[in-house]
Amino acid sequence: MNMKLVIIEDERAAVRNLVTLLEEVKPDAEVIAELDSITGTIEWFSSHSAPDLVFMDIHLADGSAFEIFEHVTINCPIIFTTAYDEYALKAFKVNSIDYLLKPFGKNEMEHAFEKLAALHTSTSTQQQEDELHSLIRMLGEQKNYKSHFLVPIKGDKLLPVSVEDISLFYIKDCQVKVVLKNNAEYPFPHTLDELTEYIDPSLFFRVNRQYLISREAVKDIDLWFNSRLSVNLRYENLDEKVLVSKTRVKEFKDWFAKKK
Amino acid sequence: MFLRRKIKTDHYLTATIIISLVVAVLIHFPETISLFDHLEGVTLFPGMRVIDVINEVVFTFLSLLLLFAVNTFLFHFNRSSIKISWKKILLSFILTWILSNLLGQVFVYLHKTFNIPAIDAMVHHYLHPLRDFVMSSLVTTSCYIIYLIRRQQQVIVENQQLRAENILNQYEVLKNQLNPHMLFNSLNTLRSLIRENQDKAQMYIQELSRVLRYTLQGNEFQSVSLHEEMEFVNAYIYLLKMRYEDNLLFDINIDKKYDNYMLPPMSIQVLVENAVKHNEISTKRPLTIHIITNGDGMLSVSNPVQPKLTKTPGMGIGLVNLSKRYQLLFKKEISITEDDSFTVQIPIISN
Repeated sequence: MNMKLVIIEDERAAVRNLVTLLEEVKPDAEVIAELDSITGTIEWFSSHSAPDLVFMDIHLADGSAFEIFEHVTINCPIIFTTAYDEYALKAFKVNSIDYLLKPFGKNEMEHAFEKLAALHTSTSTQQQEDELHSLIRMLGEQKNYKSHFLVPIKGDKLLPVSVEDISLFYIKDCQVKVVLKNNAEYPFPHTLDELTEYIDPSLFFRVNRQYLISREAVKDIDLWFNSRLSVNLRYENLDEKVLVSKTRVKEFKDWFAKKK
Repeated sequence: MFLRRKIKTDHYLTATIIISLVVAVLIHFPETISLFDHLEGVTLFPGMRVIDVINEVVFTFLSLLLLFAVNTFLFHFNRSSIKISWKKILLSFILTWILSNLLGQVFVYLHKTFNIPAIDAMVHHYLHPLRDFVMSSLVTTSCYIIYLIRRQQQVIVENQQLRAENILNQYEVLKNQLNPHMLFNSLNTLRSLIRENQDKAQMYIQELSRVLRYTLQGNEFQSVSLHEEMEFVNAYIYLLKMRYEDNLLFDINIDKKYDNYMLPPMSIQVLVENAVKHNEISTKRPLTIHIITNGDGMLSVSNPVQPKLTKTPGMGIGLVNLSKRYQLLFKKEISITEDDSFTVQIPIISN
């Protein structure tokens, strides 16, 4: 019986590479679909039954391939392909997932098929699924943190800002503001809750409902009534005290003392 | 860090306490000695008792602590991060002097009204102005010395941090220059070209080398001519077009008269790279990138916004760097706008 394959890859040349290699390594394989985007892949998998094997590039035309798994389940082995991706490589190694690094040749392809066969016999489908989920989780965690923002200023202009240059975010008159280390303040188009997810929690701490601050924003700290802390910020344009609630004090100290 | 800060604060407090105590004792040295020398005790400080001396020392000690506290509160000598000028030091000295005089008056008042034991001898009273002067000099000087020591410590720490940051930055720059993702993808494209079209493959190797050479030399010059930059950008575009084929299009319109205008190296390339990184490029939705010079010495790189389903990390890193480079080199701003299309305008500088 022919082996039915699906190739998910957004570069035509890479698809042709893959197809020619398959002809050499697995002459009985039949490529039944070539997809180049997340949306295309989701559509295809919701209207077709699963093939025997999928080759999947991590960077697709409309985003990261891991998004696909949020929408459809793919019940067949997957061999991931990527040119270079530090996070993904780390994740692959931890999760014993089959992958190919571009450019790859006949030997690498044969090796991948051998590894796939070995994985298939040694682990159950459930295990493989678990591994895939933990892989996606790993990648999701590392990728969500933003290192830069485009802050809207003066009408339709955008100011590129590195997270390192941000001192704090806070709410003033129901509006989120960003304060840069040079004390410039701008309205910011995200809520603090959203920001807590976008930003690396080792860099910014949500001291209370109104304030999300970086270590460098802290000038000094006073002990306050009721075992709370009062944080004095370097940014002096504030009319209220920034208090760390009793329950968050330990967490705050731990965060503050932790190295980046 | 939290802990270190705490310990430092404690040191400041301990230092001031020790200094106050030592000064309070030493400044009453004559009185203390004469307590044990009967003859001098009678001639210089008639009627002086042990309790008087102890009281004087204690009161001086408390006054000194208060003076330190006032100085710290007003002039923040404990904060190494602020600058302390000569004016501040002078002000601190005068204020301390006045305050120490006032405190002396308070003590005399307490002594007279509530009969608190104190030295009544005339010599002691004559010595007071001198003592106030010495005390305030000592308070201000030790505050300043403590401040200087802490500042020096801070400079050392900051230098170390700076060095670490520089190394990290250099590493990032190097990694970005080589852009491994792009390099390996190019090699993959090359692999298919070798099989399909050897002439194109040779051409591709030439263009790839040109791009690599330019990126590696990129930081040797602070600015390059638009002509040079565009030669490199064209090579870069060639590589991209081989990768994305008909899905990626370019509309380039550069006025020849700007050929010798200057800009930071790789600035156009960064903008093209960004457009490719953050937009969907597929058979269904091809992407066109426009590179255009407009009349007023600006070059704009724009593309229709075709957002990906998942955001690419590192959004804006190239833009932040470019904007910083423009500020440092030319003291000029780049302008970024977004509506249906994303446009970055960069100034090109006439020679």
